[in-house]
Amino acid sequence: MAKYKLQADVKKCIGCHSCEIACKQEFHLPVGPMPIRVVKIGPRMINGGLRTDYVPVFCKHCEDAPCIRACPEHALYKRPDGIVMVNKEKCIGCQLCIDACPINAPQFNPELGKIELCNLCAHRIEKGEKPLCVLVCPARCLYFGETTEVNKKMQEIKVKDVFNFK
Amino acid sequence: MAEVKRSICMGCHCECGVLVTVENGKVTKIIGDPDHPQNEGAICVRGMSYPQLLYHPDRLRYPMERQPNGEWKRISWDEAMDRIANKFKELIEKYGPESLAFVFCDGDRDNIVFNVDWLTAIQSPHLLGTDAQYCIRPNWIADGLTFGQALTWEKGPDYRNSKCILIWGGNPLETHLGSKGQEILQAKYNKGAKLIVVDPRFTNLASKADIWLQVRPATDAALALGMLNVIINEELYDKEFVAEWTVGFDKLRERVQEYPPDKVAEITWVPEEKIKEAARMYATNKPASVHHRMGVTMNTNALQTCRAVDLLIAVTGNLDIPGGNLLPFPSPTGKVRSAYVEFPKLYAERLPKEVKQRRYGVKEFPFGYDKANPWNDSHPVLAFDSIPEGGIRGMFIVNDPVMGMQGSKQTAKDLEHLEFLVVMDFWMTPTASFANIVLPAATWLERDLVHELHYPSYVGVAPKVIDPVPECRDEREVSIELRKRLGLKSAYPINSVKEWNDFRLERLGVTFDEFYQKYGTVLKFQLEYQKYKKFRKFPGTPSGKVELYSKTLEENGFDPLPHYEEPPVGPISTPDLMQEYPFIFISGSRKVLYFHGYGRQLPWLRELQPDPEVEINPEAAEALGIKDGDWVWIETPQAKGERVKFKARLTWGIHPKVINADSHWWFPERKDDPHRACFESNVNVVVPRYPPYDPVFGCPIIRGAICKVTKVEG
Repeated sequence: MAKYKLQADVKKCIGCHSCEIACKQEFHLPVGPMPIRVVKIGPRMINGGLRTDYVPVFCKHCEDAPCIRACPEHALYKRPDGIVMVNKEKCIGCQLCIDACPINAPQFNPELGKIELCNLCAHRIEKGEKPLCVLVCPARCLYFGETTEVNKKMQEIKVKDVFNFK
Repeated sequence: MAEVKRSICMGCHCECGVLVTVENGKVTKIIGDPDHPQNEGAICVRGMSYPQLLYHPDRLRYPMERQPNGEWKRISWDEAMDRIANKFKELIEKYGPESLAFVFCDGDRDNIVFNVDWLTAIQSPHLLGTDAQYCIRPNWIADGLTFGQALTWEKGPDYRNSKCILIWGGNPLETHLGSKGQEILQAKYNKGAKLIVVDPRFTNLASKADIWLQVRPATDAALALGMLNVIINEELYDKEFVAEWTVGFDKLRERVQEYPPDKVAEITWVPEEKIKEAARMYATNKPASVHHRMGVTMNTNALQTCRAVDLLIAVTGNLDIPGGNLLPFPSPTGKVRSAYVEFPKLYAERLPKEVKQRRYGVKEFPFGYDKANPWNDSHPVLAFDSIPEGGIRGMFIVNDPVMGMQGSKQTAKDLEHLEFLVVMDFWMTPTASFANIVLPAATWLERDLVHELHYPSYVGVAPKVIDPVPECRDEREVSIELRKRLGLKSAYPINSVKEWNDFRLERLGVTFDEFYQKYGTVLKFQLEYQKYKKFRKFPGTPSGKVELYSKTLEENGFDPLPHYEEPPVGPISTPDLMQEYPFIFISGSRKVLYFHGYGRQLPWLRELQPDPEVEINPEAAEALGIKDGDWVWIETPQAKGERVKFKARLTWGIHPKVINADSHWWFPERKDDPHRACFESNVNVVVPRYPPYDPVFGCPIIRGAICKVTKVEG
């Protein structure tokens, strides 16, 4: 199991783009790639009322990652702690990983001709810091930590919500 | 070497704490400061994009003078200041001091103080805020009449402790995200606060609301009166508070009988049950806080609408209690030192009465611009109207009225009529493109600033993070320099920005530098509640109580109780005109990406929304053959012969009879046009600046006008 996990409490997200720009700052990204991106769904009618959902999309660091299998250059790899990383030296920009990913998490950087992928801010984790998107999120909808902790936290949040406990 | 410096963002008015990374003298990253008590690490895209602004190739980097052939020529600061001082002196000599005006709007309010200094020293009363008719004024004056002080703008609502939050005609998630917007979300998700949103649009905030009231634009007064009807008739009001602390309740009770929920439902398009539900939710979840903004004020019934919403706070007693709307905390730096509000007033008080009375708007709107005016400023449209007639001949502008003021083409013509125009900004804005001299301004990252605008009870200090990008200057230094070159004395012994900053913090017993060393960026004070109990009155109202019934309004010929008026155009007032112009027009809702006219140069922001957009309901669009992504024209009956172009965004989040277009769109990249295509997709081209006006503030119909939409062919 991956050691770390980043998860969004989708219910709280407002689609403000702060995570997207934080990521661009941290990784010096140009126009184009968004390793974390909020997808807006709606507004649409559900049970007679309008509803809009905002879903932050980023690499889920799959156990058996299809992007890794799809990469012909073995540029994508999994670290022992479960984080999927891109080796930029090896990446040829073929974008097969994007095709393989069920949520298009890998992003193409047109300036470098290479893939950008959320690595959970691995360089920050090393220093004991959280990913930058988590820190700046005004809706406080992103949770990061050890996978078991995040799973527990999210379960608490969701159960509270389902049973309408305050 | 990377260094992280603590500062306070001034990308809008929020004053969020930030951590700025500086590498080799250059800013490389800006994130929220987790230790700042207001934003607690949260930050919006505007703040994070400042590194792109600082080093943008299009940023103004030196003073320039426009040549007779229209080309810009680089000049030195010394030359620029000389030209400005000489020309201003010449205009004063030829036409008198009142031929000069200072024009401002958004941005760092410190610059107002300094410019008002030279303006009043030459004895010109023309301080022009181009948003004066609708921005904060109606809220402030309505709050002032009712409670004696302002408490519904950003600083008032104590969201963190609220059990119910009512947001009316505004969206803090777009406009004040880092500060107030995130507080609302935290109250809702961490503490289970109820959220009621009144907005014609299904915004992101509305999508999180417990109740969303999709009101017909410009009918908010009726809705508020309908809610008051429910609260009063169902006896959900705070009887004790009303008896002890308010005047005029019986008259209000009588008035609200004219607004039963079924009638209000017809006027506002909000279902009767929802009106009742919202009224009950607000009244029974105490403490509750209310915030109303420009959706409420940008129409011709602004004062009465603000008053109507204010009375919800009054009758429920949600006043100055934790989680309610707070009366202003006395400025910790001392009243006189609070630069944002009191200073313009004090300066203007130095003017002889007869000069002060010659401000534009005093004659036409004696209540809104004279008696009840806390800032002593002018009605900007009337002031601009004077230009072709030889009134104002020279202007110093620090904002962008061509984009921000209604009637953009008229404004541009007025600027062309001026004998001399100086514009100070970060960019060659549409307004700057009409200037004789443009001056490059320094950003908050390059200036030493004291903050206390939006903070409930703290003072902030933000030393500059980097030296200004060469030749960009602090606006305050420029106005001090201008005053000196004009040979004028200041009202205060302030000859540098440093002296000014120290002066503002004097009462705290520290200098600017000492403050930062001792406290960092923020010093917190204990917030006081129910201050009116301590004073045994509401200071600021004639009766010392909350005035449900306002005698002051009565004496000045206005309705002492709030009432609803049909907007002058619309389905009820002008059904015939609606045949040709079938949509109600919301012009200029804000988006988090762009602060007014700023930000469209920045690649990260522009990527997120490259084109000006108009929201149209899919059913309405289908009838017009408009698909999502089509370009469309918008035309209004008030600006015949003009049209503006937007990209259609089809959304169920807007009523089929309403459309909403983005504000402030210009195209900085269109360098083929000296004015950067500023009339092409600018809503203010089709929103006129002329009457019908709100009778108190002179606000035209900005949200709640009517329009037609046609597909751009070819």
